[in-house]
Amino acid sequence: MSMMFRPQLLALEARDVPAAFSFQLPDGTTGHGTFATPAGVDAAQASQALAVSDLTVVQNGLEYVVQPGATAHYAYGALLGVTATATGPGAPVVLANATVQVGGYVAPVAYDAADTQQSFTLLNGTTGTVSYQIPWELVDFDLASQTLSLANFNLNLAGSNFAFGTANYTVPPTVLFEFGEFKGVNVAINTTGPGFAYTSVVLTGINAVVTAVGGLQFFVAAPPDRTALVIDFSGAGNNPLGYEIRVRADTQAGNQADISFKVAANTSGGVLRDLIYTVLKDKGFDVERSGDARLIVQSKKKDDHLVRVRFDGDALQQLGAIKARGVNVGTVTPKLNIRGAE
Amino acid sequence: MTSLSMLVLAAILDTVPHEYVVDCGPAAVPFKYKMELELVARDGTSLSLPFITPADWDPKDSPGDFIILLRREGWVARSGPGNTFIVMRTLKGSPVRSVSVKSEADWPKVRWVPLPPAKEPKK
Repeated sequence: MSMMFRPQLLALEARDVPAAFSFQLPDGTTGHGTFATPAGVDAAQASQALAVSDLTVVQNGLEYVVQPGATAHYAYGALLGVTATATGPGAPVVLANATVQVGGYVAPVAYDAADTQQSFTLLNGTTGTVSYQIPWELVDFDLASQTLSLANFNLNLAGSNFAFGTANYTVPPTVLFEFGEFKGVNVAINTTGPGFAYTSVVLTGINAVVTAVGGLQFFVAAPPDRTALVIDFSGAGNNPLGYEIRVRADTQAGNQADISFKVAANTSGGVLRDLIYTVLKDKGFDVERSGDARLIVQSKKKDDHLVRVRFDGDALQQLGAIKARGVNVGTVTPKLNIRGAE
Repeated sequence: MTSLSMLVLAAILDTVPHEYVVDCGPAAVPFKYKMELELVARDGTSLSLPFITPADWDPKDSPGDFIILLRREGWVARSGPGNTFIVMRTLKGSPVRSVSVKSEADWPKVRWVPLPPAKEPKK
């Protein structure tokens, strides 16, 4: 699953913010990955090898499966690199701290041990990660618009780090706030270098434009505003007996619906869809009918995400036939839950 | 083909009137899969819609679902023949520049379709 460049303020304190790495092979393809810094990193120890359980590896836009034994190596608390093997559709990706081997290619790996704040994925699968620390003590929740400098900014892209103070920043990095709410990052970096595939990276708010050698520009695709569930009731009709159904729905910001009602015998899937459309609409959810028996459910507010829709009741076969296709936003995946099971 | 010639070809193809037809497939996929639909307009507006689709999801109504979801994200699409839909432009009027799909299944597929030249009005 590719990641999108997106603001993360709501989950900033609670979420797991990973370290990141990337590489560029001699054939121009790129790889990247993340992992959470393992517990027990000790700045007093000359050498440490700590197991990593959540390493992700993506090569040429495709996710690889990390084999057991992934290890992060530290010297006096500083990350040296990761050793791991990941298998996938192509040749295995073998990380050996500062280098990676993929098939006949060996390339350097650039690590950013700082917590990743955002990432963006280009349409060719290349992913850049951005790390920085917001100076929260300077954020003014009363200001309609505020711009703060980010002296600890770093971009990790295709095997290179572009850190503030050493890289060529044509627009210095700043973070934007409106009434204390994060609105994105502004920065422009000249990334031209021998053998490097990209000449510039420009982040504006939550948009990114990356220019490749030769002038081709990649625009980073923005994620949708809200998660969505497309629920299909076509197989859930015509129960020979009436039954009671309980419908619950939750959004990330706390909007909830919890309604129970009787469904008459032989109600079709389309009519059941219409009944649920009415009750969720009454409870402030954004719902729309699609086709004969489908319902699209979203939160009413932009940037609030539908988390779950649950159906409970005693019409076992009918409820079990309800299906849903989910639209994700970032790490939020809306779920359909039928009598406690997904 | 070199990257330069690919760039030239892409530039030439971009000048040919065309549209992107997304085909949701003739039949349901028998396993759960992830897919991502990515759109870019000529003004740089872009959108990535990531989906998780359950096994045996009937593609018959999928074009209508996509058209609704795209409209909610500021894009205009219309239904096409069979289980297809055609991405046209953003709600602000910028024509679509590219449509791509990444999918763990064989579907959906995107077809780049050149448009026939407009007929001259009868004199």
